[in-house]
Amino acid sequence: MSPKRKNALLALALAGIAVGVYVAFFFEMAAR
Amino acid sequence: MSTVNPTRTHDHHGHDDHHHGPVTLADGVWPWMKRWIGTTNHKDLGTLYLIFSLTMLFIGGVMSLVIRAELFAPGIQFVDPGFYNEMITLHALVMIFGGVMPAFVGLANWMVPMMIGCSDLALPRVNNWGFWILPFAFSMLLGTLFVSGGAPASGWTMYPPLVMQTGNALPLMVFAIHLAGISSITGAINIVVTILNMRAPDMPLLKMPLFVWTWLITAYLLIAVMPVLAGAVTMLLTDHFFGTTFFDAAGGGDPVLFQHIFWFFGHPEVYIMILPAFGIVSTIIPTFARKALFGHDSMVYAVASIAFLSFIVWAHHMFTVGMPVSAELFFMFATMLIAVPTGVKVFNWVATMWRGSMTFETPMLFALGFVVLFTIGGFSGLMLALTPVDFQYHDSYFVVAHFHYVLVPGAIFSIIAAIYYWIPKWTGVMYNEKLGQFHFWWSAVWINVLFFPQHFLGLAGMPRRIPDYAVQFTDFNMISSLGALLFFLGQFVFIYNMIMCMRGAGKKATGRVWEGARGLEWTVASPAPYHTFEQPPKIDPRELA
Repeated sequence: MSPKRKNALLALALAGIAVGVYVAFFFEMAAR
Repeated sequence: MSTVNPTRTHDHHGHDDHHHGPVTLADGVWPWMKRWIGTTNHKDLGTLYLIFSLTMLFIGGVMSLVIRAELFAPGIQFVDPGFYNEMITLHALVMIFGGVMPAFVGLANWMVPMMIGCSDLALPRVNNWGFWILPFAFSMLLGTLFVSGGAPASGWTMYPPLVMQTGNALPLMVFAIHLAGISSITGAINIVVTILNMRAPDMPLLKMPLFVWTWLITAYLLIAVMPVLAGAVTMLLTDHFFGTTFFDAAGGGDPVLFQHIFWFFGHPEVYIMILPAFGIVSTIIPTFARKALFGHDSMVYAVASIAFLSFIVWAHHMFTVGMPVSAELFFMFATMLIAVPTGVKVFNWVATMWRGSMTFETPMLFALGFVVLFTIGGFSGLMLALTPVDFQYHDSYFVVAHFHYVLVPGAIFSIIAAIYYWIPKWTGVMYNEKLGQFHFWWSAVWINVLFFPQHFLGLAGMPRRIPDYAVQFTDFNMISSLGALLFFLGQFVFIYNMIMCMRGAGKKATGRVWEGARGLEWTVASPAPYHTFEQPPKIDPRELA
């Protein structure tokens, strides 16, 4: 895997965690 | 310094300034502006972050002077209570999200690539975007002073139902926080990817400098909790405009829920503002003690432990809202546990100095000021952690004294120390040492005059966030306000000293700058070339942590 692709994949995974936390929190609270 | 290792190359990022130096003002105003607006260079962006941050620290500082002027004497002096509350709110938001956090991101931008031997951050265009969001976010936030209903006046904690009384400023504040959050998250992602993927091949994780380690852990905290804040303020927005009732008891919601969500973000946020400071102090003290950092690995584990514990202590900010006793006990003991890894760090700093060959240049003075004064803030934090007594301290000026001790002579002293420490590397000239020493002693005296009396005010029962108070609190308030004004004025000496460096006035700095400095950043010339480590360096083991 090229270094550039490796960087992009890790960045996307971390961004996914951030967006996931945001969405999960919002909908978890909405479900209460 | 280094020999080229031809087996590894770092990717280049497509911008066309690899083969010549940066555009300067001599090339024309427009090309110069385009350079700064479009730059993807980590050193340029580090400079932009630091200039932005210092601007915000001065704006927030002026707001604090409005607060302290009003509190100089009992009664309403200068501003009406509504505006006073707006100052309280904006001072905190500007200092936290506009001052301290961008300053640490700026330092990371400048130093992390140079400390780990890579050419730039992993995602340079994202880095540019992350910075340029901030001026818009804070123009919007400060713009709320001019909208109908005034700026937010609920305090930076934005507790409902009070925050629902905000006028047109509410959506602007929420959007500004979203933007600042996106900026922090992009910065954090960039730092994690850079550290994990782009270190020089000879640098294993546990051999990284402490500043890099503390930033790696801070970046994970940012990625984990900034979205929680974003979620909380989005819920405020939907409660206000779209008929949801997350925090409205009349619709089945719960205002206390907001406090839990907010502090689930808010407590790790406290460590986001102090862990990089620990990294800075752990870098500076060994340099001026001319000894390796005592217990490097234990420092890393201590920082990781503090970061973990930061997620399970949030309710100590809200002991008085009503919680099961078992929960209060859990949060009390978990909070007290933080003293263990923090103690490890303080003892390690002291052990590093023990029998060291110490000198006291300005960065070292600010680092030592940090160790002593941050520890005072830590001890008052331990007092606040005790549930039964917190019922007395809660929402009093004692809390204001506590968190200002950890944030001003804590976080901000570390930022000042870092700038003095690295500015010879950035500009190629030494700052004026005499002015630096004056700046430290002036700041160290007046910061204590400013904040120490606030402990007494709080213990005597003066509440926080009020523009007026009972007459028995007058003397300590006068002393505190005097300290605030004199501390603030002293910071112009710092700005003058830094501007002189940026203009190249002063003694030329050597590459190593400080006799006891170790690390890759000192192996390049001063000022650091526009591009460093385009090929990964072969590292002399003596430069490793």
